Amino acid sequence: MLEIVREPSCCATPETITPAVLETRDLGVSIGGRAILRNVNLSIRPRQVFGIIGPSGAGKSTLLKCINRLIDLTPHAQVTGEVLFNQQSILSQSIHPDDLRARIGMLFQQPVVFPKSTYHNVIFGVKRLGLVARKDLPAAAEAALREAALWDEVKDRLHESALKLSVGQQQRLCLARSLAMQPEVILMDEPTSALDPRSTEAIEQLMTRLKERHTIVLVTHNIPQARRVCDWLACVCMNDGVGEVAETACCDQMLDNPCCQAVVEYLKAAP
Amino acid sequence: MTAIAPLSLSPTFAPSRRKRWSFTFAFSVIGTAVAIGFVIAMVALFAWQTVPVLQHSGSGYLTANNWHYRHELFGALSMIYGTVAVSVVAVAIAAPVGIGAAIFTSEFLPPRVRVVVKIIIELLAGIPSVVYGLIGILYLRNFVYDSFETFDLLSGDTLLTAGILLAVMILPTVMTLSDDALRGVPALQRQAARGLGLSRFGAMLHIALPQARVGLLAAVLLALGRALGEAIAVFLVVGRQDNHMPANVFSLRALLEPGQTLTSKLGGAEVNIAYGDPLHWAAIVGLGLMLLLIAGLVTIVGAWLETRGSSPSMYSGRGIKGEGRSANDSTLQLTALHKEPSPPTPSLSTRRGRIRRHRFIEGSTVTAFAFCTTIACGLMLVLIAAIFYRGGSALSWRFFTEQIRLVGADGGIFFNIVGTLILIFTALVVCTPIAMALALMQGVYFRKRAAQRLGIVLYLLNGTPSILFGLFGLIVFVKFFGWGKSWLSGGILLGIMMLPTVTVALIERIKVLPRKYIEASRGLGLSTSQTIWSVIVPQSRSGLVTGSLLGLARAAGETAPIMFTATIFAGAMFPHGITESPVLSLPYHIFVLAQDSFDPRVAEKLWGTAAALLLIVLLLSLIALPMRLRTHEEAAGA
Repeated sequence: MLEIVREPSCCATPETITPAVLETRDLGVSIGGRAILRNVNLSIRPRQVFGIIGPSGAGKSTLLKCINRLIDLTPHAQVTGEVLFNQQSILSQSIHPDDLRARIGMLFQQPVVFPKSTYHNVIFGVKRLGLVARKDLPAAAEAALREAALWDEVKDRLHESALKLSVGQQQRLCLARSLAMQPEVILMDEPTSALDPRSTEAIEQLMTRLKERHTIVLVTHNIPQARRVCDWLACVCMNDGVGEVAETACCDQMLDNPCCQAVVEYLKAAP
Repeated sequence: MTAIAPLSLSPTFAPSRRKRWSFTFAFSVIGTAVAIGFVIAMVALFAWQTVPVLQHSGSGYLTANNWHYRHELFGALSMIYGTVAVSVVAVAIAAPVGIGAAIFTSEFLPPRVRVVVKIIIELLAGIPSVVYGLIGILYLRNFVYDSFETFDLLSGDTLLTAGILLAVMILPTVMTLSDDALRGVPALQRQAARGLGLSRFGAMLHIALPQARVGLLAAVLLALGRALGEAIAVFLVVGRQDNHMPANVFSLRALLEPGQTLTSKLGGAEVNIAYGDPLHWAAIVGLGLMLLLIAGLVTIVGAWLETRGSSPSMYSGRGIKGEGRSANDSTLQLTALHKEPSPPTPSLSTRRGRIRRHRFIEGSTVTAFAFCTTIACGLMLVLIAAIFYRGGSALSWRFFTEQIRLVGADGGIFFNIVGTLILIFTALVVCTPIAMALALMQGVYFRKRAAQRLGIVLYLLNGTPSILFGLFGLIVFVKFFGWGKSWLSGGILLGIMMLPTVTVALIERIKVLPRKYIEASRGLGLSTSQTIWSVIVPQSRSGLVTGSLLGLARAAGETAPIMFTATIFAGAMFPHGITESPVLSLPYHIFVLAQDSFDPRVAEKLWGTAAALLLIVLLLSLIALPMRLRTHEEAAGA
């Protein structure tokens, strides 16, 4: 077990407030026989920004991929334990991972825009999955772009290649593409690590706005960013070469007053 | 303790010269010039030799359907028709099957199985065309004859038979190149699409296919180039009937008649008769020129698309109707869209009928693709099993150590093996330095644009029909140099034929060399040529080895380039000297025996020879393929 320096003190236990939208129970992942994560127990409230911090290689991204089952695409990956989305286990056979991914959006480190126009990028998912009637597509695109605070910048060149946008704009375009699907949860895997400070700020502001309607799970390396946007934090640390959740706490508690020795060390080393 | 000698710094650097013609650079230039010169010389020679027939027949050479050389009538229409017909049949079969199989292999198979499938497909590509011809003669033409009994065929030798056989032969080309095109689409793009909830099939259909479509088209074109130029297998099953044009070109009946293609004409005995008569000879070379131009054009377009397809495709903006209106309308709908997200539905597993229907269609399509892959791999296994089943009984120690007797009905193939070995080792000696020169030019000296052009020359060389190498050799080595049939001309021709295989393997190896090695070497102050010899050449040795093995496998099975220039059927042993010193060879042996022998003892020897040839080819390929494929994938990713 990870060494505990002292007992946690504050933070109203989250379980008492609202039912969790996402929960993991004893989640473990191994890839090709090598354990990556074990004993992950998280409980993520709706309409919050839930941050996951921790050193590189501890399995934060893997954890994120378990939530929308994108881990299925990794060869030889094995998932044990349970992930509950609205109290329903998503690892069971009864749920099709594609349906799940349509309701849990994801944003990657590097913006991945398709070599199509901005417009076609935004409506890509909703059009292909038939979630919006054909005649409503332009409206849906506009709504999503407005929500991602990109509309004013691209409204005059919707039909130009999305590859011409700046990287920061591309990342917001990816966000808009997810938002168009009206997801309940948005997973973000270090969404600002490839961006300049101004674009980062734009994304952070968006996160605070988006949590009014969506639940956001954010993996980040950037501690100040975690402090700015997260409501609740979990720190994933390495223990014997396997990632474990060292501590979960509300944001300030974790950053100012960590309980676990591993977290203390990580925060000391982090900028 | 010894005192450390003080560092002596020379006060000035040696003045730098602007361009140094090092030995290495000169070597690369000469090698490249030889390769490019060969292509130019071939086109020029054919064009020059064709002139008499154009003066004699004019446009009738292309549009008339009367080829009677005794009456000095040369109208090649039926051959052009034959070539087009068999190629169209081949592509119509191979393109859907090959692309389907490639989609399944690249998008749906786990990596390890994928490697196995790719090796099987590469092996299928390596089977010599004369062996395909043999299979065609003994199985396929009976199959066609029986299947279309209602049409009351004269024989199983038809355009359709040739087309089907060609389809099998070009299937690996379509599949390998399509797989490359699909692999060229970044994995991140697929992941992003999957993250939006698209199925694996959806990501393939909406992300991978659209982005790979140029590459897929290139794959089909390059395969078409192959089909147009294939001589030996077609020769054996097409019927070779002159001046036969169907009444209605667009009927199945038309394909069920025997015909003649440009290549089968060039593979026939008429070539030897023609040389004495300038006009007749011009008519024959003209066929070669036509073939070179058609196949060359298709290959160049394919190669151009292929190089273009690998660079990220830019979206060309296209206006959407009602764009302005949508902006106005949307304000009204915004409120509706912006309401609170609908409360979570009770069960994720509730799916609409539409989605379920989609998944059914997706499932059946994937099954069809899987079926295509199974066909491709199954073909390989069936072919090899058939050959070893029929030829296994002939394989014995005596078979390998005795020489041919009784016109192939008795004895062994010792001198055929010796001859083939002599040919391919000559080819290796000819090919290696030129391939290294080309690879250095392409990978080290040339910038992007020039490298792309040289790449297209390589594609062109690769796509040049092998029978044309034979024709070129016949004109230059046999007649002009007066060598007669000689092992050396065969070796040189095979060496040039295997050039693209070896060069591409080397280039890809150079491409995956870590840049830091080169930077480290340059950082020590080594010149370009010193870096080449101390870093690049040693590090790319594996590329040279694997490329050479595959090139040798291809050269060992080639019949067309050597049949007029280097080999005879019987009566040759070890060559002495260059002039009039032919050798025996395995593929030519099969080619001759396959044409006109139904003696069961000959049949046994025939299949035994095919099995022996296949053994050599498969052995060479199997050693090289796993490493070659790894380098290829890395180079494609780089």
